[in-house]
Amino acid sequence: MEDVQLIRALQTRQDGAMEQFQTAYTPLLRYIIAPILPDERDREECLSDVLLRVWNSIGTFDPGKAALTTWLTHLTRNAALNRRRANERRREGGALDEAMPDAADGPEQSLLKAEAAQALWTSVGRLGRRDRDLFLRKYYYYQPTAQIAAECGLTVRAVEGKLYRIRKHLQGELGGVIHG
Amino acid sequence: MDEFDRLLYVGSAQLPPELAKLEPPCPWKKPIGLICWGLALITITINGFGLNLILPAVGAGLLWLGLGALRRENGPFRFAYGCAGLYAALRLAVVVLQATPLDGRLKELVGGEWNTTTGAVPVYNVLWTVALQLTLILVVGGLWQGLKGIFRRAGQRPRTAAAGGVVIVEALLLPMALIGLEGWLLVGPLLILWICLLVGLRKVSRSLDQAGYVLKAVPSRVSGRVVLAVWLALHLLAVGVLPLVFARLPDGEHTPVYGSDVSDSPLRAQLLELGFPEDILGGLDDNELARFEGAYGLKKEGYHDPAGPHTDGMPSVITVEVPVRDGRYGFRCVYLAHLRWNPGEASGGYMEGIQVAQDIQGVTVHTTRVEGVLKWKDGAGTAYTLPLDFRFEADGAGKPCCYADFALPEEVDGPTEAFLFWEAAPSLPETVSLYNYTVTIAHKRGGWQYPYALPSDILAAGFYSAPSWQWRMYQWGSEGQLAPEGLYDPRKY
Repeated sequence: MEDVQLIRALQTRQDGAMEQFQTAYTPLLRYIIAPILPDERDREECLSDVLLRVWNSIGTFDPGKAALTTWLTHLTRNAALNRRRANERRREGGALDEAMPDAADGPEQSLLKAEAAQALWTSVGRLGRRDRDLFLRKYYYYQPTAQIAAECGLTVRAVEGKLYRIRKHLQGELGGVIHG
Repeated sequence: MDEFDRLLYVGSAQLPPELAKLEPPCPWKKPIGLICWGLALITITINGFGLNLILPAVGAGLLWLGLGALRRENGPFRFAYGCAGLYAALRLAVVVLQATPLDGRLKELVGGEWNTTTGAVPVYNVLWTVALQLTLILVVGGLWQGLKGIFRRAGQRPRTAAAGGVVIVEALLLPMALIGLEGWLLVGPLLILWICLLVGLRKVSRSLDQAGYVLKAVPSRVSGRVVLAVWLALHLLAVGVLPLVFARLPDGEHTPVYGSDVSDSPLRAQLLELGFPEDILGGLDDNELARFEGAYGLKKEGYHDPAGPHTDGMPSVITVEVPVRDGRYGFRCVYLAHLRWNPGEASGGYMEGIQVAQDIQGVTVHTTRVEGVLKWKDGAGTAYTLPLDFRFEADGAGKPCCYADFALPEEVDGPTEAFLFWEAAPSLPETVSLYNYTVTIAHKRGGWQYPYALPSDILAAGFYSAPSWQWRMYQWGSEGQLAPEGLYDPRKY
């Protein structure tokens, strides 16, 4: 079944539509979740959560604005990231993952961070296609360097080198825009 | 993780890019893309600028790299990966062999010819074509089954029609090559179909992203670019450097000649009287002179110009036709072709070749194989002789030809001379028969040539077959006559 037909079937709540969706897209969802959530039980719970969200919010999905895979990727990545943040916060006596954004920011802090993020994405948008892909894999999808290397046919050292150069480039472009 | 790294994670989480611009990573895209490009470069042949060598080499490398990334997925992918490695190795072996004389020797060893609609080709070449194409069919077959396995594992209907189509087209190419089917009417539609199939195969990566996102990609110890660069460098070494090792034919078994084997026999005086060139006669020993016993006529053609330049290592040629009385045939004609390379032009040559082609019209003529000898002197004044080994082979038109390959000596003082002898006797000795012949000389102008070819191969392929920057050709033709004593008139033809 084509994506458009599948979306229509999901939106009209047809029998078997969700099973078909799961068959087709569970591998993609697992692929997005896996690097963000290291724990297997977390991953399964997150997957169930995402499937529920898809079922509930497919009505709002507009195939004219984005591809189904893009929408799903975005949805899944956010769900996994939220779960990871929640896990970090629940951890008693454990330090927060420094990579995770602080949810307790004030309005001014939030505005500054939004500005910084806007500048970051503008700079990322100016990167070459391959560099942008590497950046997204590393910082947006949280993929480990070894996975990136294997999937891109590069050595781990080569990926590290490229990421180092991307970081340097962004550091030069952003200057004082991004700050702690 | 440093501070900036942390900020990048935070920034990426803060404001995700616009949905329409964000594409999820596609782990299958790269390997399938490499495979498609690999197949495209292997199958489509573009002649000129060495692209017929470079593109398939790159293609074989890309195919191997693409399948290498997938080999942990399932057995068929592993099989295809192994076959792709074998295919690449076979291709390199062909390139290496063609840079060396070994290729020609193996061709001789295998022998035989395979008839196609476009002409006969050596069985050796056919065996290579079959081996390469069969291996490629196994590669695409493994790829097809591997892709099917991925879809089945994901519980989906396999969408691998394009891969199956590629297998069928590659399988069709084998009998087409063996039959020798050519022409745009046949190849054109097949090429269009094949391109469509490759585009279809390229799109399979999208379906695979849904069917098997959990690609067990193999970590690389060396990046694909380095592998490809080394692979190409191996090919360039084989093509660019290896031929230089075999640039010159090995020196033959030359023999020093001490003392003189030239006597003042009455035959010498008789030949001189008939008009035999004195300088050439002086170079013949008694055994060679004995060939002309019973001479009753003589026709000389060509001339030597000791002062004139003969560019690019070309010799000057004089031919002598001497009819002699013969107890068995009534008479026979003895032919001598005398080739002379001036010093400087002769020394240090890479490869020389001589073809003697005989053209007899209307009668049956018994001819002997050409025999020849190379003679020169070194700086110390020692004379040397080197027998030239002529082999007999009819040319494409069925004309009897004799070929010899050799290298001119490097240490010479004075000219290097070649004396070629052959004989012809007609089955109707009472009539005058026409007997034409050509002596063609090939000279290799530089050290590099690819693929490796002997001068005799170049000569057999035709006078204009070789590129002029690599080979210099010179042809001397003569109209001879086979006439009994009394009817022989050297001025008549």
